[in-house]
Amino acid sequence: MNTTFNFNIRGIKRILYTMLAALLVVAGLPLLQPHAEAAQFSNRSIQMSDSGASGTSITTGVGSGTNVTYRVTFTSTAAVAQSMVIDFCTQDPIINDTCTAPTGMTAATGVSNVAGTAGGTGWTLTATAGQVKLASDANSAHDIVGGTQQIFDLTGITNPSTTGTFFARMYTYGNNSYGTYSSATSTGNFDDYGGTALAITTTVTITGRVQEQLTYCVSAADPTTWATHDCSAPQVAAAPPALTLGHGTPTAVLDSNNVDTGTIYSQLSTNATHGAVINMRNSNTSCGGLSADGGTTCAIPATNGGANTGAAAITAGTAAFGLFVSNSTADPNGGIGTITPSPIYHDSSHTTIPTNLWYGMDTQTSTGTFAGQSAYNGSVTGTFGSVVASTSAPTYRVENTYVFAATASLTTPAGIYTANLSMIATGTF
Amino acid sequence: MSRANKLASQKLQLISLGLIVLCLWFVGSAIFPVSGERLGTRTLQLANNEVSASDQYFLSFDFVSASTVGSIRVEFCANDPLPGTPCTAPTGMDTTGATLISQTGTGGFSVNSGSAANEIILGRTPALAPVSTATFTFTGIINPSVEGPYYARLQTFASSDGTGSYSDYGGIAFLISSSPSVTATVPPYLTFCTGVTINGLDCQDITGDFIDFGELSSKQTRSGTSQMLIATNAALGYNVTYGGTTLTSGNNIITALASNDVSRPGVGQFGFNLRANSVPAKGADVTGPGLSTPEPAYSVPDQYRFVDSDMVVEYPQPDDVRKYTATYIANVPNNQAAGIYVSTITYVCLANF
Repeated sequence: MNTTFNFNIRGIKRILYTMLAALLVVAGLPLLQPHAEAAQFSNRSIQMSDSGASGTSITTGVGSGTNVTYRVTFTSTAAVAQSMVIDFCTQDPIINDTCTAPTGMTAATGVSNVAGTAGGTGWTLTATAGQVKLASDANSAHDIVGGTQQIFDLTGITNPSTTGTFFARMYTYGNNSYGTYSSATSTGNFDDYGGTALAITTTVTITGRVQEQLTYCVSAADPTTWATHDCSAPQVAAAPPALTLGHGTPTAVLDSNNVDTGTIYSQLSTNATHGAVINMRNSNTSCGGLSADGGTTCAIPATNGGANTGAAAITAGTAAFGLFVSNSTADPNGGIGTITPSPIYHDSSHTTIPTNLWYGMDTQTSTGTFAGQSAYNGSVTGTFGSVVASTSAPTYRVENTYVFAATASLTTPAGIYTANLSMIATGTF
Repeated sequence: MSRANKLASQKLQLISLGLIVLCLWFVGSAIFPVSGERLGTRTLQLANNEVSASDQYFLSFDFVSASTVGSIRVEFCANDPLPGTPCTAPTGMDTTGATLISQTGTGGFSVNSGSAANEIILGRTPALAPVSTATFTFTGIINPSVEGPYYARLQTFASSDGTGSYSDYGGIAFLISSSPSVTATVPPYLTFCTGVTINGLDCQDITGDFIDFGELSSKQTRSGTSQMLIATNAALGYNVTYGGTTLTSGNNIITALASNDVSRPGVGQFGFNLRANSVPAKGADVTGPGLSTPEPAYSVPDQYRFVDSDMVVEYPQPDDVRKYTATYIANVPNNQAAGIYVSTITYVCLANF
């Protein structure tokens, strides 16, 4: 088989010209560098403490782009240097290329956390927006020694106001007056150099809403029996707080020989910042005790004359109706916080349930703001009732025991006595 | 496609784009506040947390920055307290009858008419609301008809009617729940006993039911005593009556004192009273912690009487224990027929429950 080779002379010329041009470019690059012995920093970086753009709706703190610290790190080459310049440019990190200072960026205000010599003892900062100049005092002990790692923080910088990449160009000089540097596009006779890229990014804003919560329940079931340890437990609903005070069968009755008691339990959980109060209001608003005539009179009156000075004993045979509120217990299953009983309903020396309790039923306190809260306090016959317990902080699964007690006298008219007691939890958020 | 159709299509696209932008602006302005300060120290206190109760609500919150406020919207929701998100109206709640009965702090608000059943809009002429606490008390609000947690969403507006973008906001949680009830039964009782002697105030400790005057004399009054003890919790009190005859022996009698009289030896007399007497020195006044007293006819010392079915004690209220001592006297004339004279007296206590 005969093979014929055809040479395209014009095509070969084009290739040769192209190769020649490439060779000239590559060979000529070093000629573009201002300093024949200059070497590039190794391990160079600038780390920002905040990459957020300035001038956004976030005006302070992380994400605001203000008061940012730039940690400058580099390792010098063999050259000894007494000054250095860092130019921040929007275009590129190429030495002597056009440089526009990033919009919105401000000058550094200080140097700190120096590890090395640059920026440390004997060095002076001269900063403008987009430029940092550092010069030593020409003391050789303060020189940047070749081959050493230099680390320092530039503080108080306001980031550029636009997101995107920007660049830092760094150069060191043999004297402490920046050699022949005049601008970012005319950097003069620097010793070593290096470029880094930095990025301003959109701040990641994470918002979580915690809504106001208030959970309060009252039940005749002991919280130790609650399957779910909170107000959603079926035992709570299955045992409504309807108490019948008395003794004997088949109908429990009050008489003058006993003080009969009944116990209910409450649990409060709230994230209210200022805590919560628990008010009790008696449906028998004219007297605050137990009534057999729809609240017109209370033949079983509020104990201790409805005093608001402190809990007191109830004596069998002296008709009275009262309430004891225990100290709180944080549920063993995650409970947090305390709910403090009011001293009107709690005497710290008489807290043994049910044998040694003192009781209260405030019918005398005038309605007024409860200390530390916005909510009202008053008497059980007042508009918003009497504060029986309170907390000044959020709580979770905190439980109190309420013991109601009553006794009749020989002259307590026969009848069926009742009181509906609104137990109202109010959070101050 | 013709040139006319292209133009029409471009117009339609522009209108659609405009509508989308308008909707986005509207939704955004509804959800996001203009300035967005969270109202501080927020409280909503109910006077009655029973379901469907007509209730009084006390609302308190703090303005945390000074701004122009013309209206405040209080929206009640069953789902969450986050303003600007869909609100599930609480079942059964009705705020249309809400009346603002008091307000403190930055004032001048009144309830705008036409508010929904789960919201209250308080309006006024827009004015600066300084950093301060504002409180509002409402009556006439009907609670939700279902127990559970509910939420109030607060929003402030520069407008006077709750329109436009809201500025400040806040949420409050409150509860509608069942409340404890206490029931106690006090059974009726009546304590009543009689005897010659009742020791203390105890009906379990009685001695005797027979009084022996001995031999009656025209020269000396014969006397004896018995006691009775009474207590009751009858709401309307009680009364004690007695029944019986005078001293009788066959067809012979000793005259009963039909009216009060002193003891007169030699005159036929039979009677008694319930006091401590000096003539004869017999008897005792009523004792015990109760309050009842003898009826006037039987309450004069040394005055005696015997009228069948007379009431001797009456008290209109429940009364603690009272112990009465009855002093009986008998006088006979010289010609009183011989015999054994006997009288049987029955006391009846009636409690009025």
